[in-house]
Order: sequence, then structure tokens, then C-alpha cells
Amino acid sequence: MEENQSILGMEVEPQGRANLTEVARWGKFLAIVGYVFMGIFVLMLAFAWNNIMTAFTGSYPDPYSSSLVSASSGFFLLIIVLFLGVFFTLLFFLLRGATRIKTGLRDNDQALFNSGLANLRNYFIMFGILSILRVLFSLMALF
Amino acid sequence: MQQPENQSSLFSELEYDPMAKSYIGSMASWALIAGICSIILLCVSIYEAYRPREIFARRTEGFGGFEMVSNAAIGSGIISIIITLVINVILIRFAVTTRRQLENGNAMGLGQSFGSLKAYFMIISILVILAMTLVFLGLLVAGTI
Repeated sequence: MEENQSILGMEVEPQGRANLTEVARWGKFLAIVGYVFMGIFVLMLAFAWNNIMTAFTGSYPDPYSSSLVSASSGFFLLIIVLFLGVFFTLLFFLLRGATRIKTGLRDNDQALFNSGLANLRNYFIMFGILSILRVLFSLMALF
Repeated sequence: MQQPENQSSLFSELEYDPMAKSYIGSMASWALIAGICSIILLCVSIYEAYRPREIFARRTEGFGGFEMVSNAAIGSGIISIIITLVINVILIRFAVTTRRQLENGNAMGLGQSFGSLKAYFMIISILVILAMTLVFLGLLVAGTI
């Protein structure tokens, strides 16, 4: 065990290197698939937007409630943009982290490797905060 | 000749320096939080699924067909519970092992703990692909495309 530790710190030994490369590969794949999923969702939303608006206006036919319709559709759009923004940032951290870890391991670049780990940490921080929020909301809905 | 440059990559020059260790430690802590939260969420979902209102719905319908749908829902529910549990156990195992190996200063163990993270990302990726395929097939069958 001791032989794995250099004078300065713990070396990334072959098993760790292989596992981290696989982590980076699958992380990159997941991020790209996530972006594709997001793109399909945005396209579907764009195509179905008129139908959604019709559903909104159909519920309130009188002119008085047209402002209410525009406000509620605006709020709906805002929520979607917020969700997409959060999802985009989450995937961005994952993609950047995976890419930098992979390049850092390939080129033996310590700074890039550390930067990749920092991005992966940011991904997990964001993921953890979102998980906490989800638990809080579900508990609030329960009681 | 570029041989010496390539050969240098055979010998690990990278290390888990203090900064890398702090990032990995923080990553493991947040992964643990996320895993525990997901298991809590799963428990809440199970509790919600077995609330008395389901019994009321069965009484009002009372058809054999509805029972079949209910059985299918239970089946898919059990599958999703197992998948969620497996994924989060892998994530928690990664977090716990990583933190332990960081405390012990064991580079070999730390490297092995990333195997759990690899498995986690792999399972999630496959599930996302499956979900995308199912959604696409569903849309195709529904005739919206």
C-alpha cells in the first residue's frame, strides 16, 4: 500500500487510471445523451407550443381573462426555461469534467486533471442540492 | 523519435494531490447526500403509492381489467423501485469507499472505488437510452410523429 504513495502524494495507479478513464467516458456519453434529450424536448415544445397556447386560451374565452392567460403561459414558459437552464448547467459540468479528466489522464496534465475533478465535484454539488430540494418538495406535498 | 515521450505516459505522473483529494472528498460527500436523498424520495413514493385512496379507486371501478392494469402498475413499480435502489446503493458505496480510502491514504483503494462511479454512470446512461427509445416508440405508436 505504501508503495502507491509518492513523496508528494498519492499516485494515480493503473487501476485508478483505467477506472477514471471509464468514468470520464461514460460521463461524457451521459452528458451528450442528456443534451440530445434536451434538444428533442425543446423541439417538441416548439412544435406543440401553439397547441399549448390554444389549451390555455380555450379555458378562458372572455377578453378579461386574456391577460391572465398570457401571465400563466409566461409563468409556464419561465418554469420550463428555468428547468432547462438547471439541466443544461448540470450536464455542462458533467461534460466539462469528463472531458478534462480524460485529457488530463491522457496527457498527464495535473492541472487539467484537477480541473476535471473540480467540475465533477460541481456536478455532484448541484445534483445533491437538487436532490435535497426534491425531497423537501415531496415531503411538503405529503403533509 | 517520439518513443521517450510516449513511454513517459506508462509511468504514472499524475497524483491525487491535496487539491484533487479535496475535490474527490467533496464529490463523495455530495454523492452520499444525493444517494440518501434519492432513497428517502423512494420511501416517500412507496408510502404515497400505498395510501388508502388506491383502495377507494379499486372499489369504484371493480372490473377485472382494472385489476390487470393495477397488477401491471405494481409490476412496473417494483422494477423501478429495484432499479432506483441499485443505482443509489452503487452511488452510496462509491461515496463511502472513497471517503474511507481518502482517510486511509490508500491510492489503490481510491482507484478501485471509482469503479462504482463508472458502474453508476453506465447504468444511468443505459437507462436514459432505454427511456428515450421508449418515449420515441410511444410517440410513434400514438401517431404524433
